[in-house]
Amino acid sequence: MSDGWGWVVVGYVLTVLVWAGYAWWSGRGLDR
Amino acid sequence: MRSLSTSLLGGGAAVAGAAAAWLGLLVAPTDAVQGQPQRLMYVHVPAAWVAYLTFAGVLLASIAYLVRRDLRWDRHARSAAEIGVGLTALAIVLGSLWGRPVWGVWWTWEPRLITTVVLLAVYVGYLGVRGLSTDPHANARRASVIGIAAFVNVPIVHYSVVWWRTLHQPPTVLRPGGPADSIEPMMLASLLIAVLAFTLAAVWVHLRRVAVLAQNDPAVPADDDMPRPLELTVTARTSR
Repeated sequence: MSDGWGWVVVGYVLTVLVWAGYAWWSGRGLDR
Repeated sequence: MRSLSTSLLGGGAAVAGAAAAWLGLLVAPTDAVQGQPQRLMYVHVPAAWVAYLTFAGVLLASIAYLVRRDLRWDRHARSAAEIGVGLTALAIVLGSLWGRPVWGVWWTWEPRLITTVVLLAVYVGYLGVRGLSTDPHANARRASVIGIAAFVNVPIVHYSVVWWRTLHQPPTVLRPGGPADSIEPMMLASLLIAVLAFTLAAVWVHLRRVAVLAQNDPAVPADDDMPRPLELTVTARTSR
């Protein structure tokens, strides 16, 4: 991880979590 | 129909997101100077650009509200700002993750970073003023004026790296002459697919959010022809 992959993994995981959060949040109370 | 088109949009965002991750992590070449941390640009830049896009949406929806006085436009403006605030915060954090290994610092007070924090603060404030009144039109009117004025921050952020001496690099893609001689083709493809994924995801989230806001607005009639529960109750009592 000393070559910088650690920063990359943290950033991509954070990005996925943010979009997952938006997907959950935007669907709260949505009639299906 | 709305459900089908929204589902297709969500599916498209997921596919584009998977493709963007594959390209950005595995296919795009390693940057000769910055090394692996440069791959954070494939999420940092789309987060910033799509945040700009959502703030342009706030601008247009705010103008539309002031012209039409229709709360549907206000819901579009609110949802766009909610997405833009999150993406701006994400862009700042991803930039910080990149800055630590490449610049050697998490944060530095230079023009691009300062103007981006101001941008974030202004739109957080925009969302904050929406709850000041119990009259939805008063809130919408106030928010629309702020939503229009706040957009001036977007070109300031974008051109901050041109107008002032900054540590942040100047534009690579959105610049006079285009990106042809400033970025390797596979890097550019990885970036553009990620921008597509972020855009599709933002539109998908936006449509769902606007639908929820409309559902929660008592002044909005139901989409279908079915009476609302209250109307059913009144009808039943009347028929007795």
